[in-house]
Amino acid sequence: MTIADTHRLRADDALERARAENRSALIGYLPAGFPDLERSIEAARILIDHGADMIELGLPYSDPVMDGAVIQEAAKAALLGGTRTRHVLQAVEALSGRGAAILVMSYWNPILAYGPNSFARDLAAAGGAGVITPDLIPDEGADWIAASEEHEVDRIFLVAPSSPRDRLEHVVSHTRGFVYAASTMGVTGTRASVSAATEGLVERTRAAGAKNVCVGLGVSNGEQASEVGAYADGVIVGSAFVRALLENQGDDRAARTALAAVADDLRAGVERARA
Amino acid sequence: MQDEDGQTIESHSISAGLDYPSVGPEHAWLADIGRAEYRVVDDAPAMEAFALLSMTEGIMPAIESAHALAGALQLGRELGEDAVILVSLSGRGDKDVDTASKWFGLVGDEPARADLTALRDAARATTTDQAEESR
Repeated sequence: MTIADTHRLRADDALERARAENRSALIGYLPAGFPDLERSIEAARILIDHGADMIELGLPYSDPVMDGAVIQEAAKAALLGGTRTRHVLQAVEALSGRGAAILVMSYWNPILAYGPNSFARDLAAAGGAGVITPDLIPDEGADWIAASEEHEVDRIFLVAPSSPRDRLEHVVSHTRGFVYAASTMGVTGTRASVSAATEGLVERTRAAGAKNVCVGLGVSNGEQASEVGAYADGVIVGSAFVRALLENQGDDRAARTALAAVADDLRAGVERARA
Repeated sequence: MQDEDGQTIESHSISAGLDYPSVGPEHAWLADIGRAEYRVVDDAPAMEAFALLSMTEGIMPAIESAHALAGALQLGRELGEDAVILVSLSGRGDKDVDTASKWFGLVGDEPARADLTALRDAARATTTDQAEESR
């Protein structure tokens, strides 16, 4: 076992830990490099300190087809600020070994440009757990499947409410870590309520063979986290955190307080979900 | 069009139909296997070709197609008078009248980007040559 392995927490480790506490895991998304690299790392640390079991670091991309207005704005600012792929890996390294599994969420093209094998290798060396690839389907992902196997990083594919049984089985069979269940046929962003169809999607994904199914899109507060946490293995929250950063730009103390408050509320939500 | 990190680079073209930073897979493949050669044409030569075809043939090309015409003009100069060149005129320019009017300074406050009088003289010279040849 290398030094990197000793502190490299995988998604399954984080999910098992939460399961042992009879709760859903809390997964927090933040775009790396917003408002700048140091502050994005600091923000992720706050999420970890306030109960996030996993961090999903977004690799800011110029064509973010799955993201709504809030995350788009932050990612655009991160790119304008000069965030590059290597900076995201630096952020992974800065955040690993702190008790949370560190994932990268990236559209496929930046990984393709970096080289899938090099990306998997460097991510593992930085202590990262794995990668969520929202615009890569397993059918087109042979290179990524091989690279992630070789370097032992989780590869997280998505399922949607529209996915039929054979599609779910196909995605589940190629996924390592957890399956990302998109609660709605839409983009990221806070919503007044989480679609009632989501629980059915999680059940269908489990029936297709998934051990871990985490729900993303539209969860922004403790009430929703409690609702989703009753049936999902993990609750993924992004825009609510990013909004806390956007609304407090230029005031670091206020941003930290706001992030901590959102995280505390969500953590309390997943803790009471099955109580 | 992308940078070394795979980030999309912003594009510009006077032609809305060409103003996107990507290449279709068929064209990329044809270029890779050497079956097709592609040339770069900027706004100015495309609009010049737009004016020339309108004036010589009474056919107003789409600005997208005007890029191909400008490429044909380039190629013709290289190959000489005996060359036979087929151009696929893929669209009509009625939809581009507003853009062209502004480019040539016929409407609005912006200065003209091309000298329409010089282009008209060039067009007349071409048509006169052709008329003399056919005589």
